[in-house]
Amino acid sequence: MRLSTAGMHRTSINAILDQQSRMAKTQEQVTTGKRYQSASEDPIAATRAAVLDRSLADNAQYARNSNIIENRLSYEEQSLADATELLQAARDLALQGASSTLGATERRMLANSVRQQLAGMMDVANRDDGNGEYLFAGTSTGTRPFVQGTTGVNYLGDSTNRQIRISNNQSLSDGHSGADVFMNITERNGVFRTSVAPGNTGTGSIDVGRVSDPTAWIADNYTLQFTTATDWQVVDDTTPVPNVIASGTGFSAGQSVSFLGINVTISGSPAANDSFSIQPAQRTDVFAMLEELAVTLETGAPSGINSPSFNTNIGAAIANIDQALDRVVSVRADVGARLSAIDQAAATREDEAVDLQSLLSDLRDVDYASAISQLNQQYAGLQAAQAAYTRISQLSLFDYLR
Amino acid sequence: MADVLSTGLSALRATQRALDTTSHNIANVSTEGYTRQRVEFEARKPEFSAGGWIGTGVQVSTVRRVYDQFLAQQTRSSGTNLARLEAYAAQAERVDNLLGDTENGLSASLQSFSDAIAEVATTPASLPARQALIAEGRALAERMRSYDTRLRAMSSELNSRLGVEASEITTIAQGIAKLNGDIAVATQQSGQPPNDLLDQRDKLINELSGKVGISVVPEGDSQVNIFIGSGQPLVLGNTASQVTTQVDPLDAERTVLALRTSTGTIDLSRVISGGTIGGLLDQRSQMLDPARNELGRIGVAITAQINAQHREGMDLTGALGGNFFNIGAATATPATSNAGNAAVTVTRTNIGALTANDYRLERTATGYSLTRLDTGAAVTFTGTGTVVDPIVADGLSIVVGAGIATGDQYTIRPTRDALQGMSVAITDASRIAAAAPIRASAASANTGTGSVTSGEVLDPTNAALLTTVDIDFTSATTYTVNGAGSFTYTPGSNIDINGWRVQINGAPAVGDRFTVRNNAGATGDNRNALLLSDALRAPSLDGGTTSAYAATEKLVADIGLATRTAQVNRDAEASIHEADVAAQDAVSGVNLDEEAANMLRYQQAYAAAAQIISVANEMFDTLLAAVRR
Repeated sequence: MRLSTAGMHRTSINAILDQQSRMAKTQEQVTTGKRYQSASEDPIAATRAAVLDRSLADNAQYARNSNIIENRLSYEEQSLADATELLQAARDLALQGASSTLGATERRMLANSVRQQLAGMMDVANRDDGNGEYLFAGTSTGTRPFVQGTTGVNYLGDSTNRQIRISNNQSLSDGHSGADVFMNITERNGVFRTSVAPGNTGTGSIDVGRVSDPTAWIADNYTLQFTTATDWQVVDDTTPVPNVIASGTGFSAGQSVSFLGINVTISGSPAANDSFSIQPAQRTDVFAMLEELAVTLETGAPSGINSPSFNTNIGAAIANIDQALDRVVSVRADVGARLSAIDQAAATREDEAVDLQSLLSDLRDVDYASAISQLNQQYAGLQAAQAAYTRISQLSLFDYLR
Repeated sequence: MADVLSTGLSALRATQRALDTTSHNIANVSTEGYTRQRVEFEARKPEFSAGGWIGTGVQVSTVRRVYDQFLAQQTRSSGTNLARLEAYAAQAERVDNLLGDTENGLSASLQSFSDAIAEVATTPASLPARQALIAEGRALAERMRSYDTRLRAMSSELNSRLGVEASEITTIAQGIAKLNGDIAVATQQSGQPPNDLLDQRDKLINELSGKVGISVVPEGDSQVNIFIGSGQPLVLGNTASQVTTQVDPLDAERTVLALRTSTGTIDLSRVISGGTIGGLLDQRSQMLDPARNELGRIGVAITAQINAQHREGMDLTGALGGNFFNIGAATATPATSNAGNAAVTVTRTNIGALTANDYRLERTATGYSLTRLDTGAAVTFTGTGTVVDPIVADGLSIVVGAGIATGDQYTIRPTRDALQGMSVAITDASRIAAAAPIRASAASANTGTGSVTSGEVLDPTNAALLTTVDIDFTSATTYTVNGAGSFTYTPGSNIDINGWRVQINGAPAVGDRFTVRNNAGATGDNRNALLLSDALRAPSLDGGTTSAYAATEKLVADIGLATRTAQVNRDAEASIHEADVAAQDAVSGVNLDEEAANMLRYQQAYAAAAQIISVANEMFDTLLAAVRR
């Protein structure tokens, strides 16, 4: 084929320009480490990479969330540990106070110690999470949650739990509402409360009792009456006509009385017409429980033999503290479960991040070995094209026309 | 003897012409559009002398352009295509560079915004986190606005480029018309083709075809007529029409091409194709405008989703959330040709049905017609355009005011101008509604096992939303609301009152109370912030199938893909064009070696012809000497 001189030059120059632009592309890949710079260079990979980037960013956000929630839960865990200690100490004080050898002064001192534990408990319940947010206020984290009112401690927080995402499909609450920790604890044995009637003349006291068959229990007010020192009957208070639902004879001290799936033990000797009331347990709070313990200690019998109502009340106070301890321990267990869930989620998340990174790298990162060998190849190609051009363009028939 | 001299002279003259032409070829080796020329020799008419016909030498019959009409046409047509694809790809690359940045693109801004929401959800009471959310919201709005501004700038740049191209087309057309005249005169005078003028005209025609698709029709034996678009005359003989730009009567933002002829102005916008202008116009209708609309649509979707959720929340001051983002409204622009002056209001009512299309609303004799601007396809709608019965189509509600005349047209752009109005409506960090406006709780004295969900907002506009409501159980299966009525309790079923919803589960006892109240003061509540972060990911577009994220990624991918395709097409056409040019060059280009050989050949011929003169001279001298003696 006939070639034109201008065409020959153009073809050679175009070839060199092509080589240069290809080399520039490879050079850009090597210097940036990226296979493509804009979406058009590899639209499919760029789109997939955008989705992966998003997952990675979410992943990082979840990691930050986990840190924050972990910190907050650790604060809570510490506070709950402190609450447990305070309750334990109060329980020890109650056990000490139950001893019939103590006098009024000693009991008052014990009561003072209990009040100190109570103050400590208020302090724990009103702790913040290190960021100025109250730990136990639900979501009203700017409101001091526990405030002493005239009739007891009022909870001013709310019962909402803040949920925080720690993975795509897992949310955890970053704390417990104060209502769930310190408030709404069912007193005594959790089912019913027992008390000694004020006018009793005997020495009989009643313990907190046990539930042997929860299904048989019907929540209502009952009175255990001793018609004689040994005969007893249980009447349902709310039924208009006193309605005997259980009775027995031949009672002796320390014997337990069973009805409606529960049993209570009467210690000491009740006199005829003495009665004990058995009512559904009520909900109270840790602070009221401690206060009740302190009051029981203060008003307990001066010395010598404890009064039946003191015995009953101190037993009830200990049962209350056990209920509170149960509550705190179960909340602590929940915190522990959450912390371990965070750890598990973190492990999963890190694995996922590694996977995502490697996928992303496959899509986006340049393979240096092949890129550099390509660059060398292109370099050699460009050199050859330049050499060929200069050699060939020197050839001219005019050189021989002289 | 005299014959020898004249034969020699003819040879001298002819080889002289040949050498002239060869040197002309050499001189023009680098001239673009130059076609090599060749001298055609022919033997002169012989004379009859005793014994036979004696040759009388040589003459130049013509100087011919070595030119292949077919190859030239092919080159021109691939040139038109290449210019179109180059313009298209260059513009596409700019859009792609703008939107397809994988590190700092729109997806990244959206992600930062989403992260900021997540941060507020994690630490709702933290003012720095809230401040960061406002800042990220602003950054997102600014990013979207700046994309829109850049695309808008590209569009107006394209308009001014069309103006420049139009005036260049006019200049070229005038050049061709003038050359047509010159060529006709020269041909008429000499009967020979004026090769260099033809080259010049071909070069201008090629230039023209690089700007816009044309058809070239020879007129007579020396002139060409040039038609543009679907047969509109641009050059007829030695007169040229003027190509100008004018504002699109339906869209003040865009420029269209028009042909000004002696009889009037013809709108070329629908018929023009090919060349740089074709590429630019295709680019505008296929990428630039759709990208702007789609970006607008994404902005509208983000705004609608976030605002709706934000309004369902409560801020730190205890007030219900307002709008988080501001966004520009849908627009309806009357055509300049409208006879009436009715105001048309367009509101977006259904984000899921919203498209990235623009529409034309036309008043017909019997009602309205609504068509897509790009394809002209009819769009089905309901309603009559009144306030009570607006025209509803594709997520829009259109109300036409009084004073419309039959034939009036409006261009409706649902999302085009949305982003210019996009900004963050909140300046005070405490006004971010991270909390839910209500909270539900069980009374602490409850003895049953009933629990209540924290509650969700169904209708934030309900006036009684924040009013305290007590739900008291009068039996295990019935309850009253604020002491009134008696409702049957079903565990887990929805209880909808005052625009909120709660569910009560478990077994509440008689006398148990659940209260739903104003959530003011819950500074640590993040319920609405969590919903906000879900809202951004919720598929709301395209009938609830596409999230703002997915739409962004799709836009970037679509543009990337379109750019890639444009580049591939351009490269393919470039090699086709290169092959065409090479083929034409092979025929018409100057080869210096060839010219050197020709020069050598003609030089020798010239020397030989000179020798003939010398011989004739000697013959004459010989004769004279013989006579003198």
